[in-house]
Parts: sequence; structure tokens; C-alpha cells
Amino acid sequence: MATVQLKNIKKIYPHSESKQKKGLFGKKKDEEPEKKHNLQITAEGTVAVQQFSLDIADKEFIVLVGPSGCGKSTTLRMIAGLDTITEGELYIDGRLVNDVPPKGRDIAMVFQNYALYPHMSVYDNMAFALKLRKMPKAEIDRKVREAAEILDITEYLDRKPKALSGGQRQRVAIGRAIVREPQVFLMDEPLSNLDAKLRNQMRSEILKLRQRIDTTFIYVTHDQTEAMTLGDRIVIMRDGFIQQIGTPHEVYNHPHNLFVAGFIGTPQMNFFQTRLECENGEFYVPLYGTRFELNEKQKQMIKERGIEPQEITLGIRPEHVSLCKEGGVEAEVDVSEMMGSSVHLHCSVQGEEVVVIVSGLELGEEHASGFSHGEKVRLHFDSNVLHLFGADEVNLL
Amino acid sequence: MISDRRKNALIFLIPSLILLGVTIVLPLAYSFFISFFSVDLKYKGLGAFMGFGNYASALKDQYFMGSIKTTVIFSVIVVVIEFVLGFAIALLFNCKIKGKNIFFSIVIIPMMITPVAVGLTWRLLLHSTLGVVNWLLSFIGITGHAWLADNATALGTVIFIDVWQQISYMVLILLAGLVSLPKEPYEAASIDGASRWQSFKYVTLPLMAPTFLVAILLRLITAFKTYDLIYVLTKGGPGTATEVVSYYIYKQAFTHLKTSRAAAMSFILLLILIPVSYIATRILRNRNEG
Amino acid sequence: MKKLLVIVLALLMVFSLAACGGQQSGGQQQATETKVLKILMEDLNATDQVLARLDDFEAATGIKVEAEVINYATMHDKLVTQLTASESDYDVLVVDCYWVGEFAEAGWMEPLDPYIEASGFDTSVYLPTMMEMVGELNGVTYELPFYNYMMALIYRPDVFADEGLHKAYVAKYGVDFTMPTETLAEYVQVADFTTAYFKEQGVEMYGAVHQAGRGDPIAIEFCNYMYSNGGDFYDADGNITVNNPEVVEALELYMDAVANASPAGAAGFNLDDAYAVYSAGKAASFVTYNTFMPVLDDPEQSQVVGLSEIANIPGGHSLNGGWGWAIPHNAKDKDASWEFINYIESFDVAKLRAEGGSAPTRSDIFSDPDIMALYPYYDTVLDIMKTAVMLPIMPDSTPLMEIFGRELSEAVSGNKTAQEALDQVALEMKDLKR
Repeated sequence: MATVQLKNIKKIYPHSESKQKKGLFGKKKDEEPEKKHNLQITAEGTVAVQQFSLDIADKEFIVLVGPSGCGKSTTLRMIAGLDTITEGELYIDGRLVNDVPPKGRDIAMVFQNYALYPHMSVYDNMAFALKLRKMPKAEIDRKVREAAEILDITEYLDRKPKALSGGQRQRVAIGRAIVREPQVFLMDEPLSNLDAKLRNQMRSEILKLRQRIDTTFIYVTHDQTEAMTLGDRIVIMRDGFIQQIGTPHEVYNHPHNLFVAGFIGTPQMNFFQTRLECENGEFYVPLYGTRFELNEKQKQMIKERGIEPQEITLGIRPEHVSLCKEGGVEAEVDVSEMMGSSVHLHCSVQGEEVVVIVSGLELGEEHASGFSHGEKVRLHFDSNVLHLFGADEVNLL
Repeated sequence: MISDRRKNALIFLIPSLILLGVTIVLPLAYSFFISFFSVDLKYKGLGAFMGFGNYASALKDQYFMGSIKTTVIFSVIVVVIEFVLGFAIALLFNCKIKGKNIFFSIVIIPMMITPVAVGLTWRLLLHSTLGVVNWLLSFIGITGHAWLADNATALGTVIFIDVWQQISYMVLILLAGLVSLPKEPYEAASIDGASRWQSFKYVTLPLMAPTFLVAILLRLITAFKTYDLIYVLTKGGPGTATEVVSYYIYKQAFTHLKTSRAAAMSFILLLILIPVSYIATRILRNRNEG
Repeated sequence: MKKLLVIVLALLMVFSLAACGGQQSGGQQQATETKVLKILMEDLNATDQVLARLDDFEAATGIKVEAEVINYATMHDKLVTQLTASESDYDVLVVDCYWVGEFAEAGWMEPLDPYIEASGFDTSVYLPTMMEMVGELNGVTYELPFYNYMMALIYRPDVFADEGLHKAYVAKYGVDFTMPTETLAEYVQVADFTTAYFKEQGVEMYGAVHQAGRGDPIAIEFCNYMYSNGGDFYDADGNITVNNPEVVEALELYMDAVANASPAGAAGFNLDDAYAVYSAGKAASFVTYNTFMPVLDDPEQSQVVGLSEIANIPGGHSLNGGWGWAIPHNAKDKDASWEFINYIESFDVAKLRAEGGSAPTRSDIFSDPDIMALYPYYDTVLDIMKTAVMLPIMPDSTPLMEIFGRELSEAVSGNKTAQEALDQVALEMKDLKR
């Protein structure tokens, strides 16, 4: 139950550090910094995170999301105190904690690979932190059993982690964090080691958990679905930089740039290389021989911002493309993915791929089980929900 | 019927099985066989059948039993010192220190030298009147002590030299164990509020426990078989102060030429070692499964 | 088809293994074609003198000799493993005098009489004591004597001439001493006193140094004390006498000397350790092999060149010792082996070896003027040899020395009294084959 503030945080892994981390037997203990692709490399080292500023409100659920190597885990580890902060300031509950060791930050963390103590029983794993705090035995017992009850792992309390399934281990890891009643609850890709079904189940349990324990959450994931479903706000990162901070609704509907637009949402947004044209003061976007007229709101924004006609990337989400009997653009079906309630159609239009989501309701009898390869369809693009990205990949509107 | 796969596997295994059989099983079986006779290398043939006579006389042999006692004392002390010191050194090497690789090479060097060379070198160093050790000690007022010739210090000196040589073995095993420990429990512990000492006590020690056992047991077995160092340093002397069982058995076989008696004694030694090695392999197997 | 492939592969593996083995034995075969004789020898001067003659031998006969030179301590055990095999790696043996009984009993030495006869070698040139020790046994000639290592007292007249030492000695005991002394007891008394005297003077000089380390060193050295004090292992009738009063007394004297005359640590010394002390000029006397005289006069190996003299052990009975040449029963080419022995023991070669300091075994070399000029002390050696005693030649002489060495070490290190230790030796001797 605390606010967390990050002010212009920067993390540099010194060049030598990665070498030092090699064990005597040449085994690298931590290859993370080296795997990162497009990170800035300076004289001091590899910059994993920079210009990271974020105010997290009390009891807010923040999700850091981005592709692997974007700096999201590093950010979380800096908040946890496992990695040092190279530059910037970190406040937890208004207190500067840059130099406070993890134990002094009153945080709990759930690790991707659970990080349970393999030699301790489930009970001892959960009780460990409390024992270190010299809490009375009876109280420890109460808290552990309470947490076990919540997580439905009471019957496994005497087992060793080795004897548990992945999902059960994850529950123990969460339980270990819960009993602490921390100010901030950190989760580092907690679901990524689980299979799809378990992942969905745990995701909803985390939501329930959140309502129960009602504290500040910082959650790291590479999975945008988790980010969208769990977060109050989402922080999208790439190559060490924040791309956008916003509610799921904001980042979905108003992606700040091309990267966010492409990263959030499945299937991915469709992109087209085209131009923003102006004819007689009226802005429009030509696409496959048709003209997308902009709506009034869009036109107004263009005017306000003084945007000139230019080369743009046009983005349209698959659900904003629909099938039509006449008009529109002719396309050929490449792949038809039956998703149950809908069908994802991968079509090719003049050699470019366009993905369309067709809801089950729109499917006629003949297409109840999808479309066949090579079938001709006609596509209609909804011009009300266009995203226009300029040459700098930033959303123009 | 065995399946084709197994048959094929067997065919490929035959050469190595033959090799193993010829080099290990046959000699073992043969020495077990002759331990029931009275083979004397001076004479051809097996000699009289003794039954368990060689075993009985070995157990009644005060020098043999004495050498077992010496061996146990030697092994236990050597292993305890090597373990405690070796773990401390391994922990040190597991930290980030400058020039660690150089120190590591230095620690490893004694292991590379054959025990005979080690023994001869130390004999020279420890020579009571001409050796470097006593010369250095003379500056702090200790003069002319006969390290290897004095009943009170001979075994201790041999133990010291053995530790000097063999500690790197312990360091290697324990360091390998430390390096392969998972990193995550430590991060979890530091977040759970553990101090460095608590991390060590509650995470490192329990996680290292199987490695500890294996290292101790393996070293105990090799310590029990120590022979060359004794041979070079003291020949079991002064008196019988450093006579270890392997050396005693060797004497029975090659000086007294009492092959059968030596074989019987070897099997008594084997009987002592089997439970130790059994426990060691059990732990190893459990760990591999876990 | 698949099965066939598997079998072929397996066979290939077996044959490749066999081929490796085949190559090795092929190599050995080649070796015998060029005639190579192998010998296991001890690392000391007498061996060096043999090595120096090997090229001449090869030039004369076309036979190459390869000597494996090792430390004495491992020789016996290494030989035994070869001699019990069906074919020996070694073609010529050098046999220490106290292995003779054991080797003869086991039949490991080929009788040499047929070869001696065939080549007309005259064995009467050897000193009778040497032939008795490392030549004939029960009327069969197994060996030709190789060199002699009779022990003696080597001492430093310059040290024992010290005026202060004599004065102090007279002050304490009322009589003066002359080195070498008459009796063993007096020798020990002088040695003890010398050590104490020089210690008081602040000089590091010990009256004697001993090789009292467990095993052969102490056993061999103590024999001199035992014999000189009138004791022996057995009496003429074969009764065990090793724990008789005169041996116990000898051991008590020996223990006294090791404790009080020798430097600390002598109870762990072997020959090399003791030699190091003496040759560094830190000891005044040393019961050791007469063959060390030339070594002690070699500036490269000694810091006391020209300072030592040799004398009989006080009490008059030193331990005689020597090595013999023999042919192993399982040698591959015994004629070639004999050819080598015949060559190396011929007068000219033996003389060349003797000139290099290998102690002679032939009387014609002992009396050779050139040799006498080089080593004038051989007179004394011959003299000492008249009363020298050899170890009992018996099948179990090696175990005897092992037991003896262990118990003497027990006594010297203070675990047992002289009587207890010798009683134990006597007890275990009952099981030994004589």
C-alpha cells in the first residue's frame, strides 16, 4: 500500500560486469544484458533502461510490457533492489530507496521460475520471510494457512517444491509473497512458464487476488493479453525506452506510435504504406484505388496541428475490416483460422497481407467452418478508426 | 526373448565388457579366491587351503588392526580439515575478487604433482637440520624439531602434507557445487529479508548438503587408501605411528610375499569401504534424479 | 541387413583393439632382434661405473644394455613382480645380499655353473667372503659378486682432535679417548659427549649421525651395533638370539646415540638424509657403506673433501654386504645375459669400474697397485672385512629385515623398550622360514 515513483531512471550494465559474472568454469551466470538487441551501447556499458519516469499510485496495478530485452525486467529488479540504479531516483511510499537493500523496501516479488527454496517444504517456503522477522510462531502459522487457503494449496504444505506441478509451484511463490503483506507486490513474468490453460486460469486468479489483498502491483510480462487484462495502466517498453503509458483502453485505441500499435492487440494491426493527401483542403488517404475520407474529428485535428500531406503508415485493426458483398477491395483468402466465435482471415490484397476478423455472426451458412484457400472476398475498411503514423512512426492524430 | 535393440546394444557393449572383466572383475575374483589359500610368491601354486584362516589371523594381527586405527584417525582428521578449509576457500573463490584466477591456479597446483614428488619435496623441506622449515622456524625460536621422526608430530605432519596436497580436490568439488547453485533462491531470500549470513545459513548450506556429503565420502574413500605419501615420507614410522592400512597390506604382499594374507586384508578393507561408497553413490543418484 | 552391419561394426571395434595390442608386441619383437638387455639398478656410484662401460660392451658385442636406475627402496618389490611372471622384463639381475636366500628358494636365479664352465670364467679371483655372500649357495653358483658395500665407521679425525673436546672429556670422565674407540659403549659415550660439547660451544656439529628411519635404514645400521656387541639373529645351532642381553644392550646404546649424539630427526632419516648431514660437515662420525669414501672426497657431492677416515666399527664387527650379478630364471636370452656378466666382471672392466670408485670384489683388483694408489684405504677395508658379518641367508630374510626395521623404529621412537622390541622380533622370527 504505497506509491512508487520512478524519476528518470537509467540502468547501465558495465561492459566488464558481464565478464565478471562468468563463473570460474566459464559459465555465464547472467546472460541477460548481452542478449538485448538494439540497446544503446555507450562507453560505460550497455544501457538497459533510460529516461524511465513513472508515478504509480497507491493500490494501482501497473503492467510493464514489451518484447524480450526491452528493459522491463531490469526496471522491476531495480525497484526490487536486486539491481542497482545507475541514475535517477526511486521512491517507495515517498521515501528515496535507491540505496536501500531489498529487505528494507518492504516489497515482495514473484519470480518467473518461482525461485522457491528447493530444500524447504511449501510451508517453510512461505514462512521463511516471517521467521526472519522473528514473528511469533502462532502468527506465522495463521498467516501461512490463510494464504494457503486463498491459493488452495493447503494439502501440499508438507511437500517439497520438487513434488509439485508448475501451477502449484507458482501458487506457492505467490503465497510466499502474500504472507508478507508487502507495500508493493512485484511479479516478474509469473505465468510465462505455465501452459496456456493454466495461464488463463492463474490470470483470473491474480485478478481475484488483487481484489483481496488490495495493494500496489507491478507486473512484468511480454504477453500483451496479460497486460491488457490485468493492468490498470500499461507501460509499453522497447529497447530501454518507455513507448507509452496508459490504460488498456488508451494504448489500444490511441497507440502513441507504430510500435505500440503493432505490439498491442492480436491479431496485429494491419499496416499500409501510403500517403496523406490533400485535395481542395480536404484530407484523404488513398488505398488500393479507394479513398479514405477522414472524419470530422480527424480533419479538425489535422488542421489544429498543421499537418502537411506526407508519406504515412496507415494502421487499421483487423476487427475494423469487414467483408462486404459489393464495393470495397477485392482480396484472396490465404489462410482461414477458425477461432470459434470468430474467424481470422489472412488475405492478400495486391500482394500485401491483410488480416480480417470476421465474427461468427457475420458468417453465413456456407462459411460456417471458415473459408477455403484461394477464395475471393471483398473487404471493407472502416475509415472511422484509422491510425496515421508519420515518417517518425509517431501517431499523427 | 530380448528385443533386437537390446541385442544390438549388447553386441556393442561386448568389447568394453570384456575389457572391464579382464582388468577389474577377474583380478578381483582371483584375489578373493586366493585369499582362502596360502599363496607365497616364492613358491608356485596355491599352497594349503586356509578357509577363513587368513581373515581370522588378519583380525588377530595387532599391527594390521593398529594400521586400521591409524588410517581411520588419519582419514577423519584429513577430511575434516580439508572440508572446513576447502569450503572456506571455495566460498572465497565464489566471490568476485581480483586476480582470483591466479590464486585458483596456485591452489590447484599441488593436486597436479604426484604424491611421490610431494613427499620427496616435503622430506627435504622438513629435514630437521638442513630443511627450510626448521630454518624459518628458528627465527621464532623453534629449533630443530624432528617433524617426521617424532611420535608426537609424525602423523600430524603427514596429515598436514596430505591436506596441503589434497585440499584442492575438495575446493574443486565444493566450488563446482557453489557455482552450480541456482541464483534465484538467493534473490528470493534477499527480498524475503535475509541478511548475507542468513542467506548462507538458510540457503547455501542446505542446498550444498548433498555436495558436502559426496565430497566428504569420496575424499574419505581416497584418504582411506592413502599409500604413496606414507611410503615416501615415513615408511610407516617412527615405529608404527604413521603405518596406514594400505601400506601395511603392501608390505605383506611385496616384502613378506604373503599374497593370500594380503588379499584377505584387502577384502577386509573393502568391506569397510563398501558402505561408505554405497552411501555416496546413493546420494549422487538421488541428486541426479532430483 | 541391419543386424549384419551391427556385427561387422562390433567386430571392427574388437579388431581395432586387438590391433593396438598387436602393435605393442610387435615393438617388443623388434627389440629382441637388435638384442637389448634390460637391468634394474640402484641409483648410486657403482651403477654409474657400470653405465659408463655399456657403450664399450655394445661396440664389442652388438648387444645394447638398457639400465633402469631407481631408488633402492622400490627395487625389491619391482623385481618380485617381474620374477613371478612367466617372462621377465629384465635380462640381468643385480641382487642385494639379503635377497639371496629368498631368490634362491623361489628359484628365480638361473644356476651359473654351466655358463661359467663353458666360458672358462675363474671364480677363484673373488674374495671368499664375497663368494660366500653373493656367489655360491649350497654348492651352486647363482651369482658373480658385483660390488661390495661392507659397512664401516667413517669419521672426521680433525673434529675428534679438538683440544677443547679432549680437555672437557677428560674433565668429565677422568680418561681421554681415541677415535675410533675400542668398544661400542665408549664410541656412543664419545659421540654423545661431542654433540653436547659442540652445542655448548655454539657450533652445529654432531658426534654422530644415524639413519634411524623405519625400514632398511635402521635395520642395516643397527646390525653393526648388534654384531660389534657380540650379538646376532641366530646362533650356530639356528636358535633365535636376537633378544639376547648383548643385543638388548646394543640396542640401548644405539637408542642412546640416536637420541643424544644425532641431530633431532635422525629417527626418521634414511641414507640420503644422514649423508646430507655428514657431507655438509655437520657430523663427526657416520656408520655407513665403505663405498661412500670416494663420494665424500668428490667436491661435487661433499663439503668435507679429504677430511674423512675409515675404520672398523668399535667392537670390531661390521655388517658385510654386497651385490651380485645373476640371470633371472625367466630371462629371454640367457646366453646374452651371461655374455654381459662375463664382460662386466672381466678383470679389465672390473678394474675400470674400481678406478671410478666401485668397491671391488675381486682380490686381484684389491691388490692391484693402480687401485691401491687411488684408494689407499682399501687396506683398511680388507682388514675390516676379515671380521665382518653378513646377514643370514635365508628364504625369509626380506621379511626379517622388515620386522627388524619396524621394531627398532618402535624402540628408537620411544614406543617400546629395547627388550620389548627385540622380544617382538624374536616372536615373529619363529614364523620365518630359515
